Amino acid sequence: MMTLRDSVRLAGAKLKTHRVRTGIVVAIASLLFAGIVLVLTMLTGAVRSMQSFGAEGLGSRYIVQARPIFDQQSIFMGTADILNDLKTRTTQLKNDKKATAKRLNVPYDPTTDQSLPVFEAKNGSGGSEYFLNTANPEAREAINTYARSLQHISFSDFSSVAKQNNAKGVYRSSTNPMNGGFGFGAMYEQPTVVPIIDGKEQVVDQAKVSSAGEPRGVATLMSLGLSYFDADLLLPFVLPGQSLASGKDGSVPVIAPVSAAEQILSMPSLPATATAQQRLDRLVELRKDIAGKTFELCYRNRPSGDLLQQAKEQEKEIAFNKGKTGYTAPALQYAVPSDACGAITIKKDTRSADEKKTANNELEFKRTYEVYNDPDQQIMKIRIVGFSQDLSFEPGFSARSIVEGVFRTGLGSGWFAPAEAISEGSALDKINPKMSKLLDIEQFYYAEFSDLASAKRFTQRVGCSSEVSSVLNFGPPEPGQQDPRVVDCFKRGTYFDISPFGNNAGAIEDLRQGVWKAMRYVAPVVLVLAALVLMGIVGKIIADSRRETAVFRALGATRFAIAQIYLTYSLFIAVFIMMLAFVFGSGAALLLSNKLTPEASVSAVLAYNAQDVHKQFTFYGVDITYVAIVLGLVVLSALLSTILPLLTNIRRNPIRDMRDEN
Amino acid sequence: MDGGENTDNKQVYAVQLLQACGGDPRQALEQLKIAARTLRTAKMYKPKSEEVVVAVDNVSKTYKMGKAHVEALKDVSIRVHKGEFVAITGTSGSGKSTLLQLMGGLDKPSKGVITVHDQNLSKLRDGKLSRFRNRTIGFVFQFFYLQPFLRLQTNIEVPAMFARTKRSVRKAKSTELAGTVGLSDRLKHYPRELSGGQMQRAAIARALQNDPDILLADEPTGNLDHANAVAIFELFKQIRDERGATVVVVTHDLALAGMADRAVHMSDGRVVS
Repeated sequence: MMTLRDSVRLAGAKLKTHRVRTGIVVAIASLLFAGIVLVLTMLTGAVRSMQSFGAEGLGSRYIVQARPIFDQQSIFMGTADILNDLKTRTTQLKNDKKATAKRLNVPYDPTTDQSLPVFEAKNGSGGSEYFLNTANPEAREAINTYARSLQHISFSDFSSVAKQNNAKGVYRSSTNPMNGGFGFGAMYEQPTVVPIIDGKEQVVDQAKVSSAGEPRGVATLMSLGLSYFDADLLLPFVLPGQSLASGKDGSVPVIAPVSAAEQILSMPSLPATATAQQRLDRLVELRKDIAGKTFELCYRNRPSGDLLQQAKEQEKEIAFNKGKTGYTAPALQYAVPSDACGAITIKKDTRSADEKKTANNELEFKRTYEVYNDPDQQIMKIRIVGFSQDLSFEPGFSARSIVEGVFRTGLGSGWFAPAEAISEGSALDKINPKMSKLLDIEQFYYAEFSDLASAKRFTQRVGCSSEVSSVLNFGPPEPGQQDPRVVDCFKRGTYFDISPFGNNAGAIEDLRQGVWKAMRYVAPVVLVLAALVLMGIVGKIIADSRRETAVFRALGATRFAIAQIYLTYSLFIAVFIMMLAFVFGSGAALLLSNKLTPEASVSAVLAYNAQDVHKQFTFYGVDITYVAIVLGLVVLSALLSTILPLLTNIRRNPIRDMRDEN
Repeated sequence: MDGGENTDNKQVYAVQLLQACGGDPRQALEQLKIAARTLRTAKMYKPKSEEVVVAVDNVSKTYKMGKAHVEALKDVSIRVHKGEFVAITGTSGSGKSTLLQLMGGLDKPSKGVITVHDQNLSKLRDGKLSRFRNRTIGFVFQFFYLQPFLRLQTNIEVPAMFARTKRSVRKAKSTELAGTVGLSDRLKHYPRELSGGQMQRAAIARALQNDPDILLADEPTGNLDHANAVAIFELFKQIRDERGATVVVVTHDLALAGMADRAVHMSDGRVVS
């Protein structure tokens, strides 16, 4: 055995032979490993950035959102028993209504009555089909009773299951989509909520909102809805100096979407092509100006909304027909209120005594058989105490789409208010679906865990398969039958459709593990490829060095010494490959990171609602573990490429090798 | 050996000699005169030492070349004494280089025994054989085989590297040897910066790096002009005289062989004189 220094010297001399060919092969092998370095460097950087941002918003909290599952189809359609009971009740109601109508002398046609518990529809074959009318209170009560008998999914049920699984906190939220949105509350109550701007109620033109593609400003409050969350989940999004307590002026604290905050401040929305710096500047400006900003909304219940609509139409009609001969103005005229959100008053009533009696009888008929509330309107004062990222994604491969798609923390879409801020009898209370004695399905439950593993375990234990989520939308083919998949979930004790909430920690962890798993397959392939590529040059060089080996043997080198020289040589090659792989790989990662960081940082600051707006989200990170792994792979590939040709070489007859070369 | 066979052999040698001299009868005649002179000298020659350093006894060596077996050496026996300068001559393919390499322990004979310093080389395992080559033998080759990307001094030191000699010691030795072979001013040069003669002298210096008892040179002048060839042989003599080394040189040049103490002539794998 020779000294390491001497083997390095002799191996170093070998490196100087076949320089071009060696260089090309080293470059190819380096590129193979550089790919691994690139992926691992960027992944490490992203994970570290995520951890750094994790302290912001809900980034470091392991929360799962649970939606109680039940078969909506059964509930919408009712069971056969419910339908039969309500069909009998419908027949009875029709007879009652007919008799009452006759007594009160008001018109009543049972064939056009839309308020009965069950309505009949003709099918294609001429037969009749019966459907529940969910707007009818008796039908809804029957559904509620039925649903409660099925579910085991009340908040208290959820809380106890979560606590059994070591949850450290449980929360809930409910969503009110308000104007035109989907939900039982909107279907039944049909309230309207409009902004008051410059002292006037602004009627939201839904067509304009939807044609714009992205609801903007206060309009989003009506279209995206307002969700009520337990305050603990909203706290991370509250701006410095703001609080989630109701204001002395009765204002309700809310977290607004960024786009709405912009509109409230009359800031033109930034174009999609806005630079990172522009977006960052906008964020700083928003932070400064939006905190504590208030605005007013007008809540009207359905009778109030209907009366306002009627008053406006009358005003138009009278103005249009003014001075026209033969036109008779309505006997009962309503006045459009001069104050924003004012009550609708009677402007003029020239009805006869009979007409008034008929109107009173109609009202009595309505009050007897329908849920009828007196007109109600109320101004709601909203105070913006924070904002959260809009739920919009940038398509394609960009820093923004990566960060917003993967690394985000937020509450979801729309506006958010603390459930605790809703005072009894307030307008918010009236539009809160939970308080509207409707089904619990508008609610979401949340369980918070101290670590990701516990959250995952909980998800596996009580989460129904994602397949069931589709059942929620489409349901089984036969009405009145519970979907067997839902039944199966209940049998297994998995009552919830569960998804991560607040951040994508689970997905990121899965991604990270997925990459490592993929690397377990990719690395051996790269190893073998690199070893084959290297074997091409190392094998050739060793083969070309037969004469030299023979001479060294003649000069007294043992086989071990020869092996030592070539192994040192292959380690030299490995060092070059490693250096180049890290230069290429981390260089490319650095370039990509530099390109993505400005956008990613702004997106992350927004996504995580970071307090420090200058915090950087980079995709560059070096981890000693993966460096060691890549080093190991390179050395292994270099050694593998050497061993076979070397074994052949040192077994050869030196005399023959010297003679062959002569 | 009967008279007829003797006549046949003579004819064969005459043809081989003529071929070796490129078909030039004058040169062949000159070589014959030298050979006769060498023979006369050899008959009168007595080694300075009775100690046999290398003993080759009934050695045969067969190589497999493809499917054929080639018998390179056939029952060869020679003795080399301590401090002798022996030239092995013969035409190409006569087995002289094979004999030299077997003496140097680069390969093992198919039959027979080679003993160096009373040590049967066939019985040495690779490690000991390598050590033997490293410490006891110094090899010089026709094509020098210097490392092209090492400076001359490092080239000379290569055998010492395999011997794990201290750097300071081997450096001093290589400097001294460079002086011996007349290359003191070339130590920092690369082989490509040297002439053929200088490269061969460097190779000789390398062979002497570990102070071997025996110097084995295989056609060391094959790539040199006559003047350089004579100088190299003079150097061998000098080494023998000054260091007491035993020198065995393979050459096909009978004139140069005449400079040795004695010549062993080989033909067709046998020692013929």
